[in-house]
This record gives sequence, structure tokens and C-alpha cells, in this order.
Amino acid sequence: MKIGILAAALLLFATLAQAQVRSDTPKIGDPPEAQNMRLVGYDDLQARSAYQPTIHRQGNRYIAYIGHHGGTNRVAAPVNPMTGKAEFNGTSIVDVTDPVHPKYLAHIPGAEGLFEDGGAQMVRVCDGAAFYKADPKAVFMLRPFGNEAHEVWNVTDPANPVLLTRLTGLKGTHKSWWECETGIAYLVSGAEGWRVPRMTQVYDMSDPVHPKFIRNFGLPGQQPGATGSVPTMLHGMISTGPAGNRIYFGYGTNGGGIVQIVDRDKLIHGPAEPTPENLLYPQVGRLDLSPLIGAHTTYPMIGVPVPGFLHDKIGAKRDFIMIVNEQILNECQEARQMVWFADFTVEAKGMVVSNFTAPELGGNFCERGGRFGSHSSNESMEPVFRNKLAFISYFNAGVRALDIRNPYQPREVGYFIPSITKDTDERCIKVDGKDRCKVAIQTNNVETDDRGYIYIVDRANTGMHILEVTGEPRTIAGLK
Amino acid sequence: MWHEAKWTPPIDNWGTGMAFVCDNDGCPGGVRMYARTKVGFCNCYTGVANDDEIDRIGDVDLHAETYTAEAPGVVTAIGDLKGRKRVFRIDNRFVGTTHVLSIVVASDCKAVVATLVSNNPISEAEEAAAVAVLRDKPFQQWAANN
Repeated sequence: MKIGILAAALLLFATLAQAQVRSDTPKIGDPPEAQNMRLVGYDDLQARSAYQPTIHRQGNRYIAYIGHHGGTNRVAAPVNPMTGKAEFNGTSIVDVTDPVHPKYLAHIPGAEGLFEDGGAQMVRVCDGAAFYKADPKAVFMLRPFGNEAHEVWNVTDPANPVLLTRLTGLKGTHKSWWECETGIAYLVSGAEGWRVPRMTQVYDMSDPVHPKFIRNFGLPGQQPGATGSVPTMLHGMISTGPAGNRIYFGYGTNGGGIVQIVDRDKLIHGPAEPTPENLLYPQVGRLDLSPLIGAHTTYPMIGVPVPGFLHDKIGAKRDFIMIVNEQILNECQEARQMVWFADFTVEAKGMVVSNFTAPELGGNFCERGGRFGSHSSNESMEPVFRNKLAFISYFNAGVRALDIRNPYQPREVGYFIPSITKDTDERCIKVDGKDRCKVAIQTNNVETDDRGYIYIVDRANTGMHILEVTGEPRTIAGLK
Repeated sequence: MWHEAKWTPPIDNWGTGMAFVCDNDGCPGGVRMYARTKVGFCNCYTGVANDDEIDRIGDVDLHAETYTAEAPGVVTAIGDLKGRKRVFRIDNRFVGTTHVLSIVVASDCKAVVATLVSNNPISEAEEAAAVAVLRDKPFQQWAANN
């Protein structure tokens, strides 16, 4: 009898557990899941797969520039309702001055091709006023054109962008960096002869119409003529400009990650011939990570006053790099990619001191469909969130807000997982040799602006959500 | 002659694969083969187009930090999968020379990476037998789900 009751109880438990799993599978009409973050505004971005948003203040306006991946098998070139034409995914330009009512201004078509083979994934925007050779009233946008070129556009009138420059002949592109204070650009390129499709080309683009090549750069072993194993290819970099004189490079996305700190001045003015010695000359620090994780975003946090260390004679303020890995495979079919904080106070001897991952158990994320794991952080250095809060895009777990005031002990203080829509694309894995597909949010990248708004964009065509923090993270940021 | 064996190379984010050993009459020098899939590798639209790609995607570095290519790679195919193969040599002053044949073939964004390892140069017959193992049902079934 007792066995029967126990069996019934187990059956009930199993049924409830199954119901919980089903309830975690997102459906159209479900409300967003949120804690201490709320939705302010939304734009569907013409249902284009989105990679990276950049928010730029232009006069009294705030303009969002969103880079897109190529099209999907289902829709290779979505129709732009503003032109009535099918256009390959490129760059969306949205006026977000009023974040409650974002206004779509223009779509600049990108390269033909599906997923990462086409589109114009990344975007950076700078004011000409800081470039000594440029029109001081102009605003310029840098973007890749698929994997074949980099382009500069004049977006002074963001509704009517004009192409200025195209650097062609490449076999790869990705997440470049443009120093708005100098015009120096670090382009993630696949240059002819180099052994990886993503390395660094340094250009002086202070005159955007006439970019001046400075040098190629990469890890020793990636240069033309090298032999043996090929070091992990570049993902992207963040420069602190002439003031900080450091560039933080991240190599690898989801495996064999390498963090490299480079002396900016030596990189720009040092010997340019890509010999192993010359490639090492500007390097001041390097940290090789586990083969199980990559180094997608390497965000510097310099001079952080660590709580509890303030009376320490040495090391009261520390320098950190927040290392964000990128999850590549769907439904947890690879090692978990997450966020790592490395203490680089001594640049040559960096070490990982803490980490963060969104709790899988609470959200059943491995079962929801699509990718679950980290991808990127906000890269804005505006004071509102700087060294206080970080926002991490987490694919089907939306965006996660971290309290990073003590990088030795980061903790989650909020999250927002948007609702799926009719546009949200499916993601598949192989089961018994056949595709098994699910529809889930795939928050790809996140950026913030100086007003404290958070912009997240979706890889699975769900558009752009404009968010704000509430509760504890709002207090941490000092927002009213 | 070929039978499945334990995967012994160190783990990385591509996960483990299937390992096979050929010895006795089939492979007088003894050949080990480690084969696995890599999903989502870059350049998945152009495939394994040159020797840099085979050096970048291949698994020779699971067996030694330093190695030498014996010759330029050549085009190869396994069924519908197309790519390249290349012969390498690993020199170790304690254990002598190890011979490695790296085969990397791909379709769309999925690559099959096979690494043949032997103390003797790998013969064409040994290579053909290894490719037959890759085309056989057990590995094909495993690869379809990984």
C-alpha cells in the first residue's frame, strides 16, 4: 500500500515537473520574464537577424545603429516597407530619442548571403568633430560589408546615409573598434596571406574619405609564411585610446580563448613588418584561457576601488578585464560559455578571479531551444553604468544585469527575457540524424546610452527592445 | 582489422569523438585514428579551401605542440564532404618520429576532422581503410548526431 502511495506521489511529481518544462517553452503571447528591468520601447527591425546595436548622440537626438547578420533560409532578403523592395540585411538606423516610440529611419542593405556569410554585422559611429581631417559637423559610421569589405558612411542625416569609402579585398571581417577621439580604426579583417580570416588591420581613418593603412597585426603564427598550428583567430578588441594607451584583444569565441593587452603607441608606431618579434613588440600581457572557453568581448575595468580593500597600502584599486565568452551551439551542445573577471593589475600576470553564469536550473534554458550562454557585454564607457553595472546578452536567457562594483564577487541583480513574436526564427539540433527545432529568444548583443537605457537585439529576428533598470540596479546606477 | 578504441586526446570545446585502432595484419606499423565533428567552424561557406584551413581546423595539435608539415596538402573527399588532407611529422627526442595524416572535410558549417597517427609512414592502403571506417555506419551515425 505504501509502495502504491509512493508510486502515485512520484507520478504526480513527474507530471508536475513535466508541466514545468512545458511551461518554460516560450509561446507567442507569453509575457516577458523580468526582474528589476522593464520594457520601455520596441522596434521589430523589419524582422532582420540582429548582431550589434550602437547608440550615438547626434546633437539633441539619440540614434541607434544596428548591424545585421545575413538573411535566413526562410527569408534571404526581407522587404523594407520604406522602399517596398527586398533588401539583403545590412544596417538599421532608428531614432531612439524618445525610447518609448522609436522611429525607424533607414535600412542600408548589406552583402548578399545567409547568416554570417552576408549582412553587415557590426557598426561603430564617430563624430567628425574629433577628427582633425574631417568635417567637424559630420557623423560617420563604420561597418563591414559581409566578409569582403569595410565601409564608412556619412550619417550626418541618419535618414539619408551616404557611402564614402569601401576597403575591399578581404576574406573575413568582424567586430572592429574605432577610436572616436583620434580616428584610428582597428579593423577585424581577413587580409590576403594571413592564416586566419580574422586578424587586425590598423588604419588612420581620421579622414574617412582617405583611410591610411598603418599595419597588420595578429598573434605570432598567424602571419603570412608561418608554419605549424595556427593560433586562435581574433574576435575583437577595445581600445582605451591615447589616454589609456592600451588595447584589449579577445581571441576565440567558444574555445581556446586568449586575452592580449597591447601598448597602443607601440602598436601604431612600432615596426610594422609582421615578423614574430615585431608582433610581440607591443604586447604587454597575455592570458591563455582554458580550451573550453573563448574570449569574445574583453571589456577593461580600470582603477576599480575594490570594496574592503580601500585601506590596503598596495592594490586598493585594481584593473580588471571582463571576459565574455560566446556560446555557439544550440541547446547546450558544448561547454558552457560564461563571464570571467580577470585581475590584470599586474598586466603581465593576469589571473581569473571570479565568474558569472545565468542560473540554468531556474530557467530550464538548455531545454528552451537555441543557444543558452553568454555572448557579449555592453561596451559603452559612459559614467552611468561604468564599473557599477554590466549587462550581458545571454541568448535564450535574455539580458542579465550584474552588479560589478566588486569584480571579485559579481552578482546578478536583474534580467529581462523578451517575449517571442511571430517573427522569431526557429533553432534546430540534430536528434537521430533529423532536425528538431524550437523557437526561442536569442538576445545577441546589448548596448547602453548615457541616459541609462539598455538596448538589446535579437539574433532570431525578434527585433530591438529598449529597457531600463528598476529597483536595486537603478539605485546602484544612481538613476532616479 | 580496425576496431573502436578509447578516445585519449585532451578535452577541448569540440568535445570528444570516436577513436579506432588498426593493427596486426591490416596495419603492420599500427595506426590510430581519432575522428570527430566540428560544428560552426568559421569559413563554413568556403570550406577547407587551403592548407591554412587544414592547419587551423585539424587536430594535429592535440598530439603535439609543435609539428612539421611534410608537404603541401591535397584535395580530398569523403562521400559528399570535400576538403583537404596533409601529412605531418612530430619529432620527439625521447620517442622518435610520429607520422600524422590530417584529413579535414566539410559541408556547410560542419566539418569532419580525422587524424591518423602512426610510428611509421601511413600507407595508401592504411589511409583507404581508415576512410572506409569513416564511411561506415557506426561513425556516420555518430557524426549525424554530433
